[in-house]
Amino acid sequence: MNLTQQARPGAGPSRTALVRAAQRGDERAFRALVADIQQRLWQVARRLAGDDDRAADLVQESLMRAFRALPRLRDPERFMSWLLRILNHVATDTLGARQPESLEDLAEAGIEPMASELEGPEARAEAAGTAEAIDRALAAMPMIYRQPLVLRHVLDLTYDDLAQILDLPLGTVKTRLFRGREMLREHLLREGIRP
Amino acid sequence: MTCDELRLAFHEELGGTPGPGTREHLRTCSLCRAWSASLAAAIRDLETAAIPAMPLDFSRSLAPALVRERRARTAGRWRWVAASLVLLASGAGGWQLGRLLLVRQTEPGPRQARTADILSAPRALPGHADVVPASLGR
Repeated sequence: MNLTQQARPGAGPSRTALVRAAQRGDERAFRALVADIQQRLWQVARRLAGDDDRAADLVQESLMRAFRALPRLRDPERFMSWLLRILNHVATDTLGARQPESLEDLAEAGIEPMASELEGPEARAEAAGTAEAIDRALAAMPMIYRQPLVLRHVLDLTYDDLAQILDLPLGTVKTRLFRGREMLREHLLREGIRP
Repeated sequence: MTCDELRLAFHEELGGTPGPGTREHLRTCSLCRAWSASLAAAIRDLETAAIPAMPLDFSRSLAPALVRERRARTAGRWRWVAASLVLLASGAGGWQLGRLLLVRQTEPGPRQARTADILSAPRALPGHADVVPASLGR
């Protein structure tokens, strides 16, 4: 994903033009901007949060913070990267303090606990689908590993983009990403998703 | 290339083309082959697994909620500006009024003026001799 590109090419004014208009107080541009970015933001938030309610809170709080600060955004070209940065700050503030989820937490949230830990190996084969297993794997890892993993593999961002959004040196980004991938792999193996 | 080096290189090359060193190591090391296959599969799962769609009611209510919040903040800001202006205006008005009252209080009356004039009148300035009362003399 190119962070400066228009989300729907040919579908109206560019994102940058919308940002500039919204900065001047144009309400229609503001609405169009929300419509333009909300799906991408939702995808990241949903993967980071692990459930709809928390993802919705994350998206709404991020957009509120972003639009309060919008008049002060100096480079409208970097709007998406700036917004993702805010989203990650909000995620760290609201979700980051939580310990990786326990089986009880997952059960309370309506997410099936890992079959491998509750039942026999037969149940592994019947574990919920891959998407749910991914949610559980992400919920089980600390936020500092979850963020680069989601940004890299859900939004297809470059390492440089990640470093900028997460405000980390490139080396740290790579280390966290590699560690996150390893945690994901191990979790899916434990759940029997991968042989 | 050692197994540790392979793992680092594999992470770097994931999604791209594996280098000749990586290919060579994977050809000869079954452990790393199994590891790299499961890692690549896990990442493929993450990239392709469906993400639940944004709930329709949330999607519909998001922009209006943000617009409402923005309007409320703008209105709040204008209320602050208006209140500040009122305060400023009443402050300035009060200051003017106070100044006026003070001036009136300290302004000398006709009798005071006479005494003051007399006391402060130059005694020996040339050209003013005629205004110095005789009673005060020289």
